[in-house]
Amino acid sequence: MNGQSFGSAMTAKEDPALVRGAAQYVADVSLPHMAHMALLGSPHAHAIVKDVDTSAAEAMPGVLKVLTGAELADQMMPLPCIWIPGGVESHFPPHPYGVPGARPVLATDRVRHVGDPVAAVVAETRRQAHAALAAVKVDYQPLPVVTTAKEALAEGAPRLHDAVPDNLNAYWTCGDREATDAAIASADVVVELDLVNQRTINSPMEPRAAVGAYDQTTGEYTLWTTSQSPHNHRFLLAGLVLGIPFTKLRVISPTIGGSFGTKGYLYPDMPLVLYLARELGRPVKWVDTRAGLMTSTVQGRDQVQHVTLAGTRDGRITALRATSYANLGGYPSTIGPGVATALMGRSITGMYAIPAAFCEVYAAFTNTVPLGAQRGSGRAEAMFALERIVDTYARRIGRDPADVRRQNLVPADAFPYDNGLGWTYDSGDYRAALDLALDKAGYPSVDAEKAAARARGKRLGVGIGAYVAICGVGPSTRMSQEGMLGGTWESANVRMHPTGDVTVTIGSASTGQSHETTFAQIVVDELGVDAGAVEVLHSDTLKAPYGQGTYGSRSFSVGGPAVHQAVLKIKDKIVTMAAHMFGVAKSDVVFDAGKVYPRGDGDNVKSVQDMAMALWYGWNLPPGLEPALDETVHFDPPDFNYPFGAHVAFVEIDEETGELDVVRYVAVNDSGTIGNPLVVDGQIEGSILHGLGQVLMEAAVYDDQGHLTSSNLLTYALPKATDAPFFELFRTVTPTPHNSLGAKGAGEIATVPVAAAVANAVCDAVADLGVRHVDMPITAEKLWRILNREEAGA
Amino acid sequence: MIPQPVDYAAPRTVVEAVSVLAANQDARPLAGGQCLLAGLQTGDETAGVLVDLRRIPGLRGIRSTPDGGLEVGAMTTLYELATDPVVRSMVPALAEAAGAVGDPPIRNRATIGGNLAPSHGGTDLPAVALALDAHVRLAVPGGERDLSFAEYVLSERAPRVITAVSVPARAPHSRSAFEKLAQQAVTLPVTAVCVELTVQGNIVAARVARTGPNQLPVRLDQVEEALIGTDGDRATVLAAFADLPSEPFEGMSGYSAEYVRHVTGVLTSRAVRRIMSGEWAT
Repeated sequence: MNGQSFGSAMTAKEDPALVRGAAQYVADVSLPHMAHMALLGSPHAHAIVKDVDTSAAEAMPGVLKVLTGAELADQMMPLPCIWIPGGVESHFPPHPYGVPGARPVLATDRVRHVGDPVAAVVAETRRQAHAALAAVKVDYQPLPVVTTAKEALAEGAPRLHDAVPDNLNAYWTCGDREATDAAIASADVVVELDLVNQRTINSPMEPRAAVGAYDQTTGEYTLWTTSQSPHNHRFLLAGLVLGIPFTKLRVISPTIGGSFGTKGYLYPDMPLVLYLARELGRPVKWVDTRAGLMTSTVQGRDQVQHVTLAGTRDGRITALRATSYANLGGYPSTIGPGVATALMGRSITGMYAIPAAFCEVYAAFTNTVPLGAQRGSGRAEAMFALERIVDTYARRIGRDPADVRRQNLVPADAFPYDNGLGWTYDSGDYRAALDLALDKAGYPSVDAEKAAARARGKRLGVGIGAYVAICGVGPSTRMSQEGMLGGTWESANVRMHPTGDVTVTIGSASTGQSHETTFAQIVVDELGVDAGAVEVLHSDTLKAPYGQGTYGSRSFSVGGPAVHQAVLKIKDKIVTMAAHMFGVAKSDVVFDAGKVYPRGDGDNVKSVQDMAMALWYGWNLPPGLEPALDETVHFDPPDFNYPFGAHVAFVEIDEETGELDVVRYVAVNDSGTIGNPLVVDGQIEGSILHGLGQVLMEAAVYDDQGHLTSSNLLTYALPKATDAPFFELFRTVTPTPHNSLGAKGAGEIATVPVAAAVANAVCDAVADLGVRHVDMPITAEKLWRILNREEAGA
Repeated sequence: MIPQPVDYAAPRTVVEAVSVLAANQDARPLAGGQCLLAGLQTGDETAGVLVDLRRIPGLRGIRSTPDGGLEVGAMTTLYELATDPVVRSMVPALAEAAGAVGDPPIRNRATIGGNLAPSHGGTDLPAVALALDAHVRLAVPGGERDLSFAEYVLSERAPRVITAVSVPARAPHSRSAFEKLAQQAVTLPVTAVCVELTVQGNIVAARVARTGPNQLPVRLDQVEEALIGTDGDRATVLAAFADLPSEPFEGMSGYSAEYVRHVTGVLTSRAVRRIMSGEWAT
């Protein structure tokens, strides 16, 4: 489809309220008689909770209640994990899905990471609640601490969960181990790398928040919360945590100030505010702090990988093998274990046709904050390993890394392409994307630029990061085989009112991706109405049809087709009614630019508004036609979609200090059909900056006692606008066959290759020094030490 | 944590401000809030009473003194310092340092007094104040005191408010420059250095001062001595730094003292090079 609206760079409808500060966030929700909750987090990474004495805190000014895990133990169930690695048979029900180690809403006998909630204090004001936290006396008996996955799996390591031997949540594999090992054993060239994809802290501008209310007369609960998945959270909280009727829980997510993966998870605060609202007979509000976010909210990445690539001397990759140790933190988060295994492992061959591949993941519990998704999750870890080792291989055989990539690409005529690891790539022209990126970058004629940089005391390096990123979760049955306990379809309702105005209600929830703009664009051209006549509603379970939320870049490619098909149904009904009114066959009704008329009779024109009114009145309907224009569609895609692209990073390293500048960044991304290029490019720029953050500065650092030393934004570095290069963005457009829009994921994909592109550029800049790899974050001091070795040896 | 409520005073005179500070041991003067408000958020700072200096008239502005020096009101913003033509020509290092702090919203609020007040707070301007032998005028109970910044750094914390900063007239043929390596998370310095050279053919006088987190700002006498009589070539500067002990360069989490020392040397050599290559150098 195409038209004046769909595919055009409309400015986002949402933006004026956002930039004026007028949008309503959860923290803005204020209800009569509302009380305020604060959570007491453990100061220990691992300890027995021997006793919690709440008496002093209860006597503090304004305190209404101090809640501990002991009171909750028989009141609610642990937070479920719904993505269980390995494609287990559906465990549904019973809860907790056979997942040992599930997180209790408040700690009972043991805490397993710094910040693990031990008690909740409710007071008249937020300050009173926070002030009373210090008066809660907890008797801890510290236990030995383990903070890395490999150490947690070692013999004699402290065990976190009695029910989890060796701290091993899952040993997960994909691919053909024997064929891969055989290919490696017989290969001419074998290269290996040890890589650390360090822990990162998602830092949306808005920390999380929750407000709970309970109506004693109806028994209805309402939860306002920062959720990417209001429907899913309603389902899980009502049935599996609180044990209340599904119909008695309404979940509302108003404006969300960014998420990047973190807000798709269940957190203790959600059931707590609901429970406490019922217990106290007053609404209860909890708003996290920026410092609180650092230990209250899922963190990202954290895989230690060993990767092996085998190939011929002339550049043909014959096998790829990866072993990864994934650090899940103290508990299995809602979907964290799946992110760390399948999303990573099945993605490790990227754009390349590799005859034999195998990946194994050890997912382990440690005394750190639980792991979840971070923009590009799993796929970014896979592409970092792949694209680093492809470069390593190219250098080993003395070939240009770009040429080696070209030689091994999945060819454009090979789709659908089974990558041998569980993914079937839908469509693509990888060569076109790679060549476009290289062409725009001026690759490889950068020798003169390198010499010029050297004369300025800078080392210039150029690096490529190419990628395929599975998106559009997804086909529900396929996801069940992956171990996802729940459907992953989307839905949409389109109503055309008697006035001709249109309400589009979608199941997907926006966390800042301009749903209200882009989803309207799908409707505007089809119906031929003004953009101003279309409103898009979402994120309230009472108003919106079911949907699984926004994650994995799925909203537009799974929710969008639902809207598209619903509006096509609306059109069909209009045509049916028009045929009846005109007395012609349906096939003789022309629907064009908001008008219907009998073919060949341009004088006999009805507007869609006329038709909406006629169907609203419902007079003289043809037999079998229901009145009104109101259509709901549920869309379960036949398969995932696979956006892809190629990025080229140019870095300059100061030879005196090791300081690094990203001086150019060329990015080609293919998201299939684009609904709104302005919105998509905004996501792409943000995604690239996210990737630059990880490769250059971000690191969640735990000391050996499990204390997070990078515990605020003074010590955890996030990229700033001044750290952003001037992006040179281009795209290719390869529609997916799996939905009626041809749309693929877009929101996170450009994060996926960034770390590899920059790290490859750094290694290119110092290639003459014999450097094989530099661990992230690539800091000035690390580079200075590398450069210094040169001076020492000179 | 969220900060607990604090009392707030908005005196209209310096005398009143000092008396509130003297009467409350946990009172803290508040200028632009660059350091204090961030510290209160993290819990690294405490305050029972915030004594807001912003309503006291007469604490803001930049003027030349009859003897050729400069006097800057303590509440003068870093933006004003960074853009003032007199500051830029007379003590360019001060303008450069002010312009290198934070971002525009911070520079529009942060003040010279506030940036200098926490003498080991890891801010930028102490390196400049020390190198240029600036003085601070302090309002104290019962009157005023004038201390060199070097003395101020070592003095006891007491009820007092910086009301003005003065920079003496510069020697002929002198010029200053400021360089820093900023932290990644915030733009506070990993290390910052201010250099002033008096040049007549070669360097005849040198003033070099350095600041960084969790370290008192210090003059680097050995580096100054090494520069005199030279043309300030890079090797001379780096050799002088290589001879320094590394301990004074410790204190920045995530950076080794060895690296910070080296970078301070590089930054110093860049400041020297900028000064020596300037057209004014005769």
